Amino acid sequence: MTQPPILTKIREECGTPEDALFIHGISGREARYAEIPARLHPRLRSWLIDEGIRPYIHQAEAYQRASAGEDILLATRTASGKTLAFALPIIDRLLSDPDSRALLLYPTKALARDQLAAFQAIDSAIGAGLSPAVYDGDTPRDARPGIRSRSRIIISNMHEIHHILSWRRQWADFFSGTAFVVIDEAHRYRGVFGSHIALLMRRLTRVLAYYDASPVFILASATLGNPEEFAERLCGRRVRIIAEDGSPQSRKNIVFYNPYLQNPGASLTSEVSRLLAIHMRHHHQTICFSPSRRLAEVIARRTREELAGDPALADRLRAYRAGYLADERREIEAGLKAGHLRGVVSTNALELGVDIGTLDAVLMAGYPGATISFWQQAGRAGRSGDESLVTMVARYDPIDQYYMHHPDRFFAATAEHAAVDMRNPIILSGHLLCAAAEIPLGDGDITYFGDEMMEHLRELKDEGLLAWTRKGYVYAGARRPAEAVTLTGSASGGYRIMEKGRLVETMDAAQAYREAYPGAVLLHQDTSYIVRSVDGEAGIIRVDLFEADYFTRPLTTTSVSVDRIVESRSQSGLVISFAEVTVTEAITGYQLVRYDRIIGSETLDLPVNSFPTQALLLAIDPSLLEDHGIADPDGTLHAAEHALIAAMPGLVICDRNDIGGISTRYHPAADGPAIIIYDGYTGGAGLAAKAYHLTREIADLAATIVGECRCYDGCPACIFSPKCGSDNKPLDKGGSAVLLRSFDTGGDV
Amino acid sequence: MAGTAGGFRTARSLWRERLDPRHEYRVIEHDNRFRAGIGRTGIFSSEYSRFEEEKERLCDLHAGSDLSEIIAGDPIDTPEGECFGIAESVSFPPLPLDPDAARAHLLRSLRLVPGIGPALERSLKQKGCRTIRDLLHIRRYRPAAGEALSLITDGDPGAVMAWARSRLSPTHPDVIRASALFDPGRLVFLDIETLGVFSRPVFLIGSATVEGGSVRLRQFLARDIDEELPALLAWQESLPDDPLILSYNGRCFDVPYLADRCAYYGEEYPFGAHQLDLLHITRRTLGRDLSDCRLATIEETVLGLSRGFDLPGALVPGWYDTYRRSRNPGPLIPIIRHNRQDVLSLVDLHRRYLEMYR
Repeated sequence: MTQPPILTKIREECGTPEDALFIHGISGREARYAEIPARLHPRLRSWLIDEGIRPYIHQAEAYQRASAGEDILLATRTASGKTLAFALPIIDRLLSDPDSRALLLYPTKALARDQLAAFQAIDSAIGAGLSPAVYDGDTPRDARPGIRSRSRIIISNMHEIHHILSWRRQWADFFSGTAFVVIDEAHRYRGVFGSHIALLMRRLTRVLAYYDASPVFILASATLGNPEEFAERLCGRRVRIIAEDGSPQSRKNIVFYNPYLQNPGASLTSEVSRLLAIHMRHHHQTICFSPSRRLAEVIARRTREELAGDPALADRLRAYRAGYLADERREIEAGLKAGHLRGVVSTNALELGVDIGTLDAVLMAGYPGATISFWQQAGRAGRSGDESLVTMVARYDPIDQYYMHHPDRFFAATAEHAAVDMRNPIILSGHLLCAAAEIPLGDGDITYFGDEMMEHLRELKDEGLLAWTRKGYVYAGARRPAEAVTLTGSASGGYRIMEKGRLVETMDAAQAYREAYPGAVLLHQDTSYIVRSVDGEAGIIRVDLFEADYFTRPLTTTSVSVDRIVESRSQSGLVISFAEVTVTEAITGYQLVRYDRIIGSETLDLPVNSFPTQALLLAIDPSLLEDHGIADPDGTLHAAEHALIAAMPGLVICDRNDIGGISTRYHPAADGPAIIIYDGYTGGAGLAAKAYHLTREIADLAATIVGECRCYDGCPACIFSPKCGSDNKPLDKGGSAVLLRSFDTGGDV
Repeated sequence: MAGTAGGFRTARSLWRERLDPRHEYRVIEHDNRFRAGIGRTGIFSSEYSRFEEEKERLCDLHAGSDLSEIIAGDPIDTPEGECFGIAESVSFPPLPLDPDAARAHLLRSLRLVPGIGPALERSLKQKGCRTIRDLLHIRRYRPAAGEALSLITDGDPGAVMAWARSRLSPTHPDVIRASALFDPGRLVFLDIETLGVFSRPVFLIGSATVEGGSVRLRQFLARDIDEELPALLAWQESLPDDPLILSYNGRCFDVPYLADRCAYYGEEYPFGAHQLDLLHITRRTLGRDLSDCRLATIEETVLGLSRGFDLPGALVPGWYDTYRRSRNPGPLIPIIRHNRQDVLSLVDLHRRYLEMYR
């Protein structure tokens, strides 16, 4: 097979030294079809025949199993025809049983609208009269009663369900007929968010059971390491996994590019922008995934500069991310689908299955943090059946560099496990409050909420938030619990970013704290703004247009107090504990950064942000720091903390941003040197809890990262942290290598 | 491992803080009125501290007392337990309910006949057709006019009112007139006090019926949340058959709220078929002349009443919460008084409209 011109060009541009590029070809695959199921409703059957649709084997299996009442999880790849796999069993049942209804849950409003179009097309083609409709925050108030009473397919999202369960009286008809609940993109619901969704699904199932409905669950997800366990945790049912994918697959070239081998001072932004410009000049419609919202804007801007010689082409590039207003996003989606936009730089907002049509290539600015996400993003290319290109540009970051040095390990790696914790006390008790506002809670509800439920109910009653009545525990608070419990785990309350009375975008509180402090530079498409004031009470951030040639990065200090040690064990020189802690973060100032270089800094006096969470506490025997000739104990601890944090995401399944850490020569809880790694969410996210059982593996990987790195005294590939609050100072690489190895040689724990 | 006593403690105090009733409104610092009106309900900080002082005063005054010592009432037994009932007869001039006059008025409303709109009504009246009876002589209107006539003369007042609402408008004076057709015993004036605008307990149901020259006022109080269902049941028990519920914003708030709370407990809620929402009528008839249509404003400007101390609705949940936690009945007193006045004002306001559209 001849090499596509773009690959030749990439080799020319990036192929020195030779090991800077790694190209992995994935061969295509023919489609595997099944017969149209014999029991399928005649109208659906003739529709399939008229449209010339032959079901793939996984679609036929989904129909057989779901029709027989089995709960299923479709674990086939992106664009494998999941919509039809949902539609066949659902519409078949809805046609033959006039009382039945289906509830379809998608992770975003955009995806919901996309799916609505697909279901409406089938509905009108077969004249089923099911009135599919979207019911979410954007649905006009006066349209709602009609949808509830008429539509037999309602497409919504988790956030909406969280709120409508307490309006169940209005939903009685729909709920009593609910025969199917579809959860698409289920792998998104892992970690903290997943724990919330798992409990929300218990609440939904409980309310449906109240109306005598016991629906079939149809889940779809990316490939996971633990699909059975995950699905059961998420929806409380044992599900059948359907992984035999019958859809055809085009040939793909996967390119790993490590710009730092040629130039240790390379800039990720420049490299990605250069490559994106090459893609666009080669007529490859490309989606570039960025790890952060800010970087998405920066890459878009720099790529336009790269394309300065061709303004018409530069004009066909957009940034896309959460926070944009809905109209703006829909316009970009439509532009991509129609083909007149040739490039988009997106956060993982477009990782989901929003239909943006055929794309030729995917470009990733750094490893997206999980193989699940890598393959989801890679799936955006090659929908047309042509050969497609997926390129990942490495960051100077331990994990990225690790995969660049060991690409074979990347392709051999099994998919991650998705963690869902039903017992996180804060998340569980929050959902119990919500559930108690839906139907009084009693003993029998242990089947939904687990053995800890009764203890929680008693505690919440003592707190005055629940009241015991003859009907069970009743919500007794004066605020709506669904408003106080936010599914994303962050504190409620959003900010509106206003420029002279015009709404620029919206931002949640946690993000606003980190990004929109006074003096911060914000980017939105090609425009930059400077934050003038933050009005926390009114939720308004006032900005002015500001042509800045620099970006801002906050400087934070963090302290952790240990409230209680839950569990602990010792090995020589080390006491490892799982603890409840309170983390206090303060933004003390910010740096001005121009082209990856710090050009100045400012101080700020802002209120602190403090939250209770869970942590892994490593209390280190001072002798470990005295022996072995460690030159700088502070730098050693700090470097070891960074290496441990770098190693954790791959083993615990989280994003580096989900966890934080501190290290200190003396912490009262350890009565000596300590490293504390905590969950970055109020109440904890089950990450430290999991790490407590994996400390050996984590320490081992951290030691490998530091030991294998060829730098002299530390670099972003080993002990530099991209989010270090103290500017990556002090760090002692040699010392951390010694210390981390001593953790590992501590013998069995 | 995570399910530990410490975890429970953290969780419960976190939710206690997040669910504090004070988050439901905003105290506007320095009484800066330019900052009011954004987002949640606001209350000026000077007023807020005045109310806080009043609450403390009431708590001091009634510390150690029992509810029944300061509020005259009796426990009411229901199949689901007890609640607290407060009953009172207030002498009131009888309502000017004149069904014959109302019927005559309605019969002059030709638009109550399907097929007749405002323009046609005008031209028919110019031609001398003054009542629906007159229309019986015109062949094309005969069947429809006959039906309308028998509805107005013999039909259930509820059906007449529903007919007037849909043929004319929900706020048309004929809807008020239709309320005069009801047997006075079927009229129920309703106002409730709750812990929020939705999906939280209702703790006080104020309800009044008319008995000749007096108004029989009943209040059903949940002394704690476990008395909510008994209060709902006791209130239902007190209702006449097939009542007309008169309220102020009850069509959107009080009635669906009570229906939701009954559904929450898995109980039937068979009421609400006939309603007259005086807020809607007020908006139409007086709205243009008033700064706002709050019931307190109507009392001052239309009914010539002054309440003196009155607790803002936004503070009601917090005051009930204080009572529930402290068991000090002090903070309940202004809530009960406020509710009582609301219900009595409804009776008064209804009278005004009946007089206005006699």
